[in-house]
Amino acid sequence: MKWTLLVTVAVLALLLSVVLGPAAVPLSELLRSDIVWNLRAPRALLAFLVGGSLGVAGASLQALVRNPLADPFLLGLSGGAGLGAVLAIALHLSGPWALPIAAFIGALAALGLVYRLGLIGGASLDPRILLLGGVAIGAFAAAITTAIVSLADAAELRNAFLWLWGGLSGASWDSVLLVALYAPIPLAVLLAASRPLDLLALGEESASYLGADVERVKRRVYLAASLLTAAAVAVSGVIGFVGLVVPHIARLTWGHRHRSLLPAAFLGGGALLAFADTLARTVVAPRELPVGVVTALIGVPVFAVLLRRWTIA
Amino acid sequence: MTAPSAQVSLETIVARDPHWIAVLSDSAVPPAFAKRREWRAVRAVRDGHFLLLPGSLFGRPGPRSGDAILQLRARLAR
Repeated sequence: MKWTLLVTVAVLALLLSVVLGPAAVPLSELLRSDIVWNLRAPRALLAFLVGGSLGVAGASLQALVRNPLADPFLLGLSGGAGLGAVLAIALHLSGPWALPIAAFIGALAALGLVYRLGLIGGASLDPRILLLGGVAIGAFAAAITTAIVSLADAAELRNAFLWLWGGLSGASWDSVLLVALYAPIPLAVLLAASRPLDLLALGEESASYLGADVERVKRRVYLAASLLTAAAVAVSGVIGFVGLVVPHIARLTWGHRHRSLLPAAFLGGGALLAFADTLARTVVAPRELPVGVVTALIGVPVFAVLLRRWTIA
Repeated sequence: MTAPSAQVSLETIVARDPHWIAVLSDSAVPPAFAKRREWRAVRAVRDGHFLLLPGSLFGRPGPRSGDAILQLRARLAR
């Protein structure tokens, strides 16, 4: 029942984002329209893939660091990706893929630094140190980003600002294809780790008594979730709250079993981002809002209501 | 649109179906976005119809604005 409902919501969100848009396309021409095929369809799919990836990455990281505050961007990736993107804009790197590649490299650099900080004694990954290192590296990268933005020209600054709040206006079939080929690998790794992730909730020591190879699971989950987030941030900028809110909502309904929690977080995250992007494109048409603004405006009130119910019950 | 200028979504541009796109640019090559796949949906981009307008003439309001208008008219007439 709840799966049927979730799948329905997801399909509905995808349909809405193809049907609605700033330009009026009559329903009868929907299937033949250039606007639908070349602009709305890839954008809807990209939003869905990115949202789903952020949802799964958030759910796994929350289990890994055993902290409900964890989200894909808490571990410094958004800082690194933002720095890469702003550098690409400031250095006038051209070519359609310059910005995503720079953002991806920035995210990987942050990932490497945080990972190195989190490795204690060269072998054991400490989730608490990961969190602290992530926040520190993120703040450092954000400081450099702000320095570059404040020294850049006005037009560039606007671009950088839009990118830092996330946007899917660069969506094309190329970027959809890229994410659709890349994302299944880390997603499969995370899904395969769902049983050990359940065990990790009991604490690392208990998890290892119950047969989980804790060190390997921690490394794998951290790297897979981060690589997934790095790809998402490269194609769409920093989209907040999806990775934080969706796993919590999914956990309220699907419980703590990651085998069902992760797919639910994927569908929920995809539906939320596709829906948020539809709003971002249409409410101020012909202009656009950064989609991160919309996810925050929808996500936070929903989250607050749920949190209230959750703590009362 | 009420504002004199604004950044609009690509979909709005496709819906307006422009034959020409005016670009304030001193270079002789079409802008970088012309190579992006999603921009192929715009007719002017498919046809390679860009009016590249030099900034010294078109970017500055002043006595030469008249020349700019004459030049734009002549280029559109061709």
